[in-house]
Amino acid sequence: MRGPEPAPEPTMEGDVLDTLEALGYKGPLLEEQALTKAAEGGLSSHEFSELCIWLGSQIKSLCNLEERITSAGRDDLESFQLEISGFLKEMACPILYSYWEILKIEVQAMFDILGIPKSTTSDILLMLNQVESKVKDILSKVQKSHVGKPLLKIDLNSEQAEQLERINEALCCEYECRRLMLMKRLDVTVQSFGWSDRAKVKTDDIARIYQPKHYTTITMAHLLAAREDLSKIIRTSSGASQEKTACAINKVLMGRVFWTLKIEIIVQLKKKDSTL
Amino acid sequence: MSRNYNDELQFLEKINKNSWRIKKGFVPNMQVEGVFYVNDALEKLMFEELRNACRGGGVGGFLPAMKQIGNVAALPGIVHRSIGLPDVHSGYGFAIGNMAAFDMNDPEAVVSPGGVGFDINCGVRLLRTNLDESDVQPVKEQLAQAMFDHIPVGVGSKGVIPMNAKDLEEALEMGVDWSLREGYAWAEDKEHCEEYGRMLQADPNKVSPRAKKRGLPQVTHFGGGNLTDLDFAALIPDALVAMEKAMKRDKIIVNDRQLACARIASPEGQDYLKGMAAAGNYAWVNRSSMTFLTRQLDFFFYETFFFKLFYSKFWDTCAEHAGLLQRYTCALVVCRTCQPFGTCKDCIFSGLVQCLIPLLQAPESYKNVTDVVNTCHDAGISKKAIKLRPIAVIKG
Repeated sequence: MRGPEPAPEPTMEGDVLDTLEALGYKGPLLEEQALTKAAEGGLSSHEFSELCIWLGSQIKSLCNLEERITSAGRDDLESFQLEISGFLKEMACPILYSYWEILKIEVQAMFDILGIPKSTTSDILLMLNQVESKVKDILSKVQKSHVGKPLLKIDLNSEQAEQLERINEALCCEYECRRLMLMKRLDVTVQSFGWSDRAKVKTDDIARIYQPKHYTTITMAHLLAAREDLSKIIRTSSGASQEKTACAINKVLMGRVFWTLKIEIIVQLKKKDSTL
Repeated sequence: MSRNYNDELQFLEKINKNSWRIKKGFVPNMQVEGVFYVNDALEKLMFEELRNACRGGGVGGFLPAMKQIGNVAALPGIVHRSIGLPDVHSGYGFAIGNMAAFDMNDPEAVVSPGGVGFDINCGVRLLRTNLDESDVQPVKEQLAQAMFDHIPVGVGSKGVIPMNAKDLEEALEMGVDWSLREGYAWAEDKEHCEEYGRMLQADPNKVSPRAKKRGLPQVTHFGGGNLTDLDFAALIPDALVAMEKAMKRDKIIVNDRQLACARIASPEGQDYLKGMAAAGNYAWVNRSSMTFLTRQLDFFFYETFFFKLFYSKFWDTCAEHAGLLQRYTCALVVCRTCQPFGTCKDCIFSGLVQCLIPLLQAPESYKNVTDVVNTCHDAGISKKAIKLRPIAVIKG
């Protein structure tokens, strides 16, 4: 008598699927083909990113980790990668994204933004050449002044770059603090609006309109990309800003209170100056 | 006073022409040293006060300011120094103009109502306008009269801005956020207020019903915008009793009963801070309401007489606490420096205003404000920035 059919060769995908099922994952990647396709797409695949986020939150609560992978990060590839790196680091995971892999993903993202069809080569230098020629092409089609001159006018040597990195880190810490403070203040103000009786019926509307924006960490790349227009500091209380942020409230007048006063003043002044 | 005047002097050391050090031992149990800032005239006054006290002539149960600075230096958790700003003089427990900082991470550190003061968030607001003197001079009498008529003054008078008990609760909790929501403040006003016009730990339940009852009609007026005044003075015995119990329980020792305090982390300490924050919020609402009415008047005036000025923004709110008024005959704006605490600019500034406010309210204790400001400038505590010249005055 022959024994039962040997089980199919265990595959990595199969193992992963079994684990996901056991963990309670209910997303769209419970099917091997879908999972493989998503894995090929990597972080540029929406489903794959979602899976990472879900796994991250499960692991975080089980292992009580500090780091997390947030869905907000998904919109900003670089931040997302940083989050995953940080997460893996905290788990002391030996398999991290290599520098080149991250670079490839970023260059691919550039392709997408610039509308260049997906690259056939994985040679990064060749890919960057393609990016450069596309950018030159686009620039030739806009006004000369459209993209201003760079703010940073020198080439940085590695020592200067390192120094700037350190300064940037210190500034990021400082501004993180201030940012948290301002976000908190904004939150409590919006909340206080939500407590009024008239606003209680509009909580959904408020929630829809008030969504804190995701914050991008400032890096050296931002410095290199900065243009001269950044050196113009626009005061928050400048005339233009005030005009644009004025709302109906600024023009409210308590008419009735001052009506009699108005008449009084006019009468008084008429007595003093009959030309009025 | 067991020591004679000369023995007391052994604990006092002149640092420079504007400052003196109070060494440990001047009073029992000092955790840190004291320092006080003077000019020649103020120095004379302070030492005279000490000499009189040594002879047995105290003033109305208050210790001399120097001793009070020392007693504050003996409070648990105090950081760096107990400081006496220029024109420091005797007060309740703390001298008026006596400043101290306490480390909130130190479980021993305390909070003392005497240190906070009874006039919680008593302050000044400076509004800026785009108008010239030539715009205002022709109508200054009418403008001043209108302000007097329409912005209530004096304790007990009714406010113009409608407010019920529920509004008061919300105002105590939300500070300028309430004013903003109700349309009395502009969003940009918050940026020019300390704490953005709202202390977040406020809890209206920690404010007594009696204080609320008194505060409710007074939400918009000059000279009565403190939720404290008489109420807190009457309530001090209550607070003292609660804190004295806490002091026995937590084994806190102070040199002066008026320095009653509680550990910051204790329920009494937390309750006090929450009530204090609510009182602070009330003051900001009060000042916002007055600003609102002032803006109404200004807009009203200039629409009537100067059509060309018809646009919505006349007044910016400059820094709170920025104006120092001397019987309304001259005002000086000073800007903060880092002395004498490295990072504690706000403490210094409110301490400075604190010691000057009594000048406004008690003309008999009139001192030359310019003197005090000059001393601060010389001592490096603040720098003179702008001198204001009033063209009309309304007394609150």
